[in-house]
Amino acid sequence: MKKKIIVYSISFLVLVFSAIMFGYSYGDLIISFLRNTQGTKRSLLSEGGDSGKEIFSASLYFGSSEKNVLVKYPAKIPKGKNDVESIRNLVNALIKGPKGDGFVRTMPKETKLRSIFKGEDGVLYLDFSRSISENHPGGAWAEIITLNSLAYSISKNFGKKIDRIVLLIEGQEAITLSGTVSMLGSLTMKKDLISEREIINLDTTVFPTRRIRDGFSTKKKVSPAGLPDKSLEKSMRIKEDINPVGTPYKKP
Amino acid sequence: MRFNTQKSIYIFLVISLVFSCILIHGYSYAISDGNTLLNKNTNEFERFVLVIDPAHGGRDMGSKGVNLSEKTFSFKVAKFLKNKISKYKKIKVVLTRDTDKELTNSQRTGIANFNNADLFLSIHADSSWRVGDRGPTVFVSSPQRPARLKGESQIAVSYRWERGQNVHLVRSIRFAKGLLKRFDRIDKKKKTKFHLFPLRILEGARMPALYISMGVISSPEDEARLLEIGEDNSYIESIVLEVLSFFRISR
Repeated sequence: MKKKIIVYSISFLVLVFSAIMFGYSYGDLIISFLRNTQGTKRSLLSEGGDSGKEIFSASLYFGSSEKNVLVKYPAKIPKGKNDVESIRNLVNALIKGPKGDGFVRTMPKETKLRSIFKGEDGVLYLDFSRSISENHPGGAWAEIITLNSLAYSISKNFGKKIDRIVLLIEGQEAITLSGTVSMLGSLTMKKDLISEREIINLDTTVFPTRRIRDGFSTKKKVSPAGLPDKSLEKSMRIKEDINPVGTPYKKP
Repeated sequence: MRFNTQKSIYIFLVISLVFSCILIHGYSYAISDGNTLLNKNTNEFERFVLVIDPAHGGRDMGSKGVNLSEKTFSFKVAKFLKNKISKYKKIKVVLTRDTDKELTNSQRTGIANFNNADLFLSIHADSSWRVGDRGPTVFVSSPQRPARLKGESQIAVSYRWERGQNVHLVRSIRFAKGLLKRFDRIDKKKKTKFHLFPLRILEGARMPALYISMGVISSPEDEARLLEIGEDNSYIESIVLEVLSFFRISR
């Protein structure tokens, strides 16, 4: 019996000694391995700029490097405490830009999202720093791409919870982003702006969040341009039916 | 009836005076290309007014290329257009800025409205997020439906600044389509883009109005093309021809 106890205790001591020796010799390797795994986890989470615990799959819309369209970009975004926090992470991911070929950024990298809050009637306010307009390349098309990228990315992922988006620059309601496209009126989402890979249905009854400023909650069946039924361009084809003032005659 | 010689002389003089007046008037009408020299005010009212807006200016450089900025380029093109179109007496050309000064969008549109312009052209050179983007683009304002404020009547909404362009959209698109056809004939490989968007500079214009981007200044290939644009450039010639066709003036 005594012999058994002595054997067990000696083997236990040998095990402890060997563990200590292993720790001394390979400890630095183990610590560096642990640090690396933690680092990758952090980088995955930091895509949205926040170190939340949960992440969710979101569809961001970046520009295509081949055509003048927006393309879907799958991303992992850290989930916030509430929807507003999650949208903040999503917008930060948009500012950070895409990784990989085939995509181009749609917002200046110097942009800072100062604050984000949800008002009454499902209005989401995004307050950006002045750098969004100062560092914007300018021009109508570049502004359209930025606004649509923002609106589509938010509406695709949080469309049911948000009816309208209002952009603020340094706390003031912005008239234009960089001097060209008016944000006070309704902004039309262009169907041909989205690549064939991911075409968003613009039917208002199915997808209500299609305008950035107003008309998000419109339930009437209207064309994206805001006109009933016929598009304006179609009415242009009937030259005889246009009076000198320029408005089409109404047929009885 | 008897006529004495003195009376017949008076009658002859009156008739010859009337006849000579008619002759002078006819001659002056012929040399003034349809407009009477006698009434200068009528002539002024009969002229079409074209307002050309060179984009940006002053501190506002606009889009930037390596060797070219949008404000200088747009001013150069506007000057070329003015020189070419001013040759036609029936068109009065007004520039929103004739020096390097900064104006707001509303001020530019206001100049066109104040001058009762028949056509408003805003000249630009855009930038793009994409490197290889190139070619001209034509924009027309999309119809505006500003949200009604609390207590605001329907009539007050209809007089909003943003709705100024709504009535003239059909004619703006007609001009744009004509211009697109001409642009497409120049570069058959690249189709000119055309879009309807709520552009701040166009929405308050109370006449047909267009935003013409002559190219993508941020692309090196297109910047080189824009740098070489002269008065006899085919794109400038196309705009001039479309303006003449819009006002129904023969060359």
